[in-house]
Amino acid sequence: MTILGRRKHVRFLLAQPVEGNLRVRDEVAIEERNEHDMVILSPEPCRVGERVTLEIPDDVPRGVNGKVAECRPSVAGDGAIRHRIRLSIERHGGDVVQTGDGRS
Amino acid sequence: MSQGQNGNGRVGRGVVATLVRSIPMRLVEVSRGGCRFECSSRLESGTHGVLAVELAGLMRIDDFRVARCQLRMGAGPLYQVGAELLRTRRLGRRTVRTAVAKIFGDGRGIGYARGIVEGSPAAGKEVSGRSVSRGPPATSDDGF
Repeated sequence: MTILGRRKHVRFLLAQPVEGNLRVRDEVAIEERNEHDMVILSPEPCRVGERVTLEIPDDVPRGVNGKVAECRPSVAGDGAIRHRIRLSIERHGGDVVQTGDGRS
Repeated sequence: MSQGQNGNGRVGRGVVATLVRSIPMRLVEVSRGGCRFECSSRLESGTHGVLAVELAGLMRIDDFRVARCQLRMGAGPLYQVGAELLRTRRLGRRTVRTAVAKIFGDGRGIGYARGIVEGSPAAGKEVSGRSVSRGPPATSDDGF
């Protein structure tokens, strides 16, 4: 019988940590965009220089690869803290058929 | 590209998009239900995403949800994250859960697992990643 909130499985501490990657998605609002850069409001901050992909749900969903040029905190209309991020667009990707689970 | 956009480049309210971030991490501890890893970005509890790590020569992918995230003191901007491995994918051979079960045993009565993690990219060759099993603790908050 397992108890809720208790660990059930044996854990294994790796003697040598293994490198890997996380892919995290956030819903953001686009404030401005032009050919060269884009301003978005994100619930999470990004580091300057970080490379990200923005998936835009247009008629044909597309991905835009960008680099974070600026990230400043901002208070949204509902009082929540958001982060205004300026992305410099590096490349407009092709059609994005990502399903949200990496099985593109 | 012109959805909700006026002449001066401002976009109307309500135009949403998905920001996809790729965050490098180091897997420190695993179990069939969760894992602990280190990364340089703070992740809010409840954040979910996809974890990809190479174990035993295969790229293993699983969905995860962050249970806790703590700054590792004295290590610069390094966060320790406890995450739950979500059972949203079929338990195929390329999932982290399968790798844990296969490499380290399923934890049934194994007090000290001698898990050998082969082909880890950390070393670029076969790695003798000896793993010490830890029994479930007496108390815990959530998942991991």
